[in-house]
Amino acid sequence: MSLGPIRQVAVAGAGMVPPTRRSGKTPLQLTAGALRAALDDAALTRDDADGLFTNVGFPLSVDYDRMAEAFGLSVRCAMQTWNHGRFVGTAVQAAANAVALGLAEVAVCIGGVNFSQFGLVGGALDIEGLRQGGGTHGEFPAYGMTAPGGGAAMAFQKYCARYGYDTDLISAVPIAFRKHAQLNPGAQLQKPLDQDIYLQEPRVIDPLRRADFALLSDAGGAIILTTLDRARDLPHPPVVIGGMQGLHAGKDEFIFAPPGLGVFSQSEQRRVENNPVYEMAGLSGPGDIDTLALYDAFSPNVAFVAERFGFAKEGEGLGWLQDGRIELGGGLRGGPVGHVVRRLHHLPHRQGLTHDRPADLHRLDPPETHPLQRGHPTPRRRPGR
Amino acid sequence: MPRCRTCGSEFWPAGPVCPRDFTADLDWVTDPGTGVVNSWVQIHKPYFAGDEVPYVVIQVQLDTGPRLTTSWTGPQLPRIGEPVEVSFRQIADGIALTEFGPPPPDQS
Repeated sequence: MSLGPIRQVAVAGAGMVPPTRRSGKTPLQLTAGALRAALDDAALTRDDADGLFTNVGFPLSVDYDRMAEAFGLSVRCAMQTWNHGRFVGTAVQAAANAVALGLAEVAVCIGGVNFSQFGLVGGALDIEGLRQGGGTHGEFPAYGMTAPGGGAAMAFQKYCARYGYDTDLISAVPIAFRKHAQLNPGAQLQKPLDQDIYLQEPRVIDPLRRADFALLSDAGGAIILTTLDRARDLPHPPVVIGGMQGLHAGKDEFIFAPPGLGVFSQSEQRRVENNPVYEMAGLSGPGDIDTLALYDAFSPNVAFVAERFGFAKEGEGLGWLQDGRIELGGGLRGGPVGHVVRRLHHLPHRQGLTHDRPADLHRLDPPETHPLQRGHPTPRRRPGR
Repeated sequence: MPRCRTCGSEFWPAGPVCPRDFTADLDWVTDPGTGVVNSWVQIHKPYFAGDEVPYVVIQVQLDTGPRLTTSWTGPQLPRIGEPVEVSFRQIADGIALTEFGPPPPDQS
């Protein structure tokens, strides 16, 4: 007896309810809309789905059992994570594992979040801060330390001091993504952003400014995973999941810093990371990557992902971002970096990297990049390119 | 601060086992309360009703090893690496919070 046989897994469809600041929609409406869009994209029906994977849950989103009940799903493999954005990747990995091992044939990964009902992340109503030992983003409300952005700011301050950077260099991230947003009619922020405008942005949690924080928005997103064989029978070219690696945890890990940066419980010992996802996907390393998608809830995450996954050496990530490297036509073999996730905090984007856990760097799974991966023209391509 | 009697190191946050060696023979010791600023942020958004903004939160690296999230008492913005020492702020009966700032000149 042994686990298996292992089937190969592909993404067969993706769909979104596009992000808006105030949708007027409930989380159930956002998740239903995303699921409908993803099923239509994959030419599958509600009754085809037998796996259900989600992060977040009530109240920001919907628990798996209420979704299954409300949508009339018949699920034989369900999983719901703890309610943070980092678990988007984990949820998709769980779906891939389930399909690979035959616990599900058609796994839907769904998220739909309504932030506008709350309007604020952090503060006295934020339960993260109630956790003994501090919140997962470093929250410690007795000392005023609150909000996920607080932890990101604390780590970024240390990083810049350790490696000798002016913190305002992080402007390269929102500047790049705003340029991309201007090519996307659905993007929420489209006004020009350059260095001068960035420096006028109010500081929210110093050294980070408003443009460094993901917007609190409402949206829904879903992707559909199935076997590669099944996906080949569906209308779109399958997007194969070629490699994965898991979520790290430990004293040396902090969600918004590379290991060994030396904040919170971390040691001060940086190291070259072993990232087996590349080899599993048949790639030699970051040089083979065309496009990188990641969860940049806060601007510094982009620098830290670059270092963690070998796009930049230790301490060089912030420099690596400069001079348009992550813009369209920049250094990643002409492909963009990370722009897709700037629009949201907890995201319906279903894959891409978190700062420590790419599923497969060679391809993009966030729904709005799915057409890009298939080679369809998207609004982000400038005419004539 | 909690301290492991097996390996001798202090650790934070507190817990029932030593994170270094996973043993459970612990005690609590009085830390000298000296260290340096490891990092800091300045919060401008009024997350908590009644708090005056902006305010500073620092992370102190104690000389004994652990890092603490705490409040800043210095007259200017902190500099990473600057020496600090603890004082205590009584906020209610039996409840005190730490705060850290530059040592007074006559004690440096």
